[in-house]
Amino acid sequence: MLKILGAIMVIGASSGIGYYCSKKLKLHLEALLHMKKMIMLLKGEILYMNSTLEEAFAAVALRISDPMYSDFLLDLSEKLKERSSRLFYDIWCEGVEVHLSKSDLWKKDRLDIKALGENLGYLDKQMQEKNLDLYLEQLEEEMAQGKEEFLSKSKLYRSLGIMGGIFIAIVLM
Amino acid sequence: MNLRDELLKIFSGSIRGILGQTQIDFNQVQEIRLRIHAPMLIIYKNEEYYVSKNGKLTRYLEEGYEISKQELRETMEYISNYSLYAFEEEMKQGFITIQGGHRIGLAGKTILDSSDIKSMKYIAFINIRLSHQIKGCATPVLPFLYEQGKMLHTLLISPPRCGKTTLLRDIIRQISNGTNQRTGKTVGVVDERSELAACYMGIPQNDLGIRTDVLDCCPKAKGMMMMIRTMSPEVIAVDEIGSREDLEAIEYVINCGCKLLATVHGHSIEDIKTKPVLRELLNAHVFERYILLNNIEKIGNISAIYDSMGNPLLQPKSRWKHA
Repeated sequence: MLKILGAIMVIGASSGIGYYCSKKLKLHLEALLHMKKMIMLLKGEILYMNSTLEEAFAAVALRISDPMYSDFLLDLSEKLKERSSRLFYDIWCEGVEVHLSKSDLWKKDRLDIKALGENLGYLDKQMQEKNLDLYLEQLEEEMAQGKEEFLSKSKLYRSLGIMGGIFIAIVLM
Repeated sequence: MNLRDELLKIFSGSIRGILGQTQIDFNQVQEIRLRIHAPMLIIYKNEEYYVSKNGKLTRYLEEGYEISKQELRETMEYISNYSLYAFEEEMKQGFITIQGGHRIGLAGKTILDSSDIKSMKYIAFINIRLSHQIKGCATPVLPFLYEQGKMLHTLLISPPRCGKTTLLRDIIRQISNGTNQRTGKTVGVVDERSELAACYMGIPQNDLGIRTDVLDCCPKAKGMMMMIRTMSPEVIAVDEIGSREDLEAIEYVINCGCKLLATVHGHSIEDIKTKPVLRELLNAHVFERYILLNNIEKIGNISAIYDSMGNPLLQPKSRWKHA
């Protein structure tokens, strides 16, 4: 009886790990989608509303449902308002580290976001558009890859979890 | 946030430190001028001073703090709030208006697109002109702007730095709010340079009265017509008229039965008559009151008030003649 209970627990835990890995891929995709939505709203604020970065961040923060991303933007907006004698890029990178390191974005994604901050606010509106479009293109590629990865690996992770659990249970029994 | 803190934020760290040490009343500061490799200058209580590196105002050139290229570049970052792109249109005219309605004049190398100014680079000269709201400064002139309880078309004439925008701002506020003797009127303000209302995110930072609607950053001529069509104002107020388009819009305003309140750069009525567009307005007796300002005794000193025929209602007594 005890053996059966142990085997069920092993299979359950192993399946859980499989589901967790699969879920992580899905959450990553969702995080990329959040980023895309945020950048598109920012683009609209900058190009069509002619907002400064401080205004644009504050306005977009109100339109985003996920508190992690809206806090990121609100914090940036507040810091820009302070004009604390620092470069924009430094303020941006700090914001990414403080707010987005807990998100489901990967390290590479965060590096791409930081790179976007290098040229935000630089030169004219055309430059802003090109800079944001370049990042959106990168994001699209990431999302396409992410989708592919999710389709191919999520099933694999779940099956491996269950099968691995059964295998360990048999070996242990 | 007070004027001092609001203003210090736009300077680079080092300049901020210097100006932060000064013991001056920022409400009395008219201008701060920054030029690369030149001493920082401040116009304080109508007098020009150098600012030393420990924040003291001095008359000695050698004590003046010299502005570096890096400091000016950093100051530009803060003036534009890291978003120079958002001021493209204003840059073409050579100035940016920041929060609080302060006007930042810029000079550097212009970038041309065929014959039009596209933008500006290598900005090496900055002139910060502080905006002040002086509530009550319009009280002495207000009785002259009404006749039998009706508001009159009024033109404020003054050279730069004599307080015409400040006076206009308070006239708007008082007309809009009204008094026990005068009922408040709906005022439409076309604030092309964001100096009158100093809107920040659409909300006026200066008090323009309870019956005032503001069209911010809108070209005057288009804005005047828009205001009449949309907000049905009794009075339209604009700053610094003078173009041919303005003339057409003014005619439209007057034909609609609105009263006009405007300002123009000039030293005297004779000076105004040398400007083609304004000469037409003068000859057509469009304005019923002319208020002349100077800064002889103090900024905003009212030197004369005339009626539409050029008769003085306030000193000097001499009547100016129509062409």
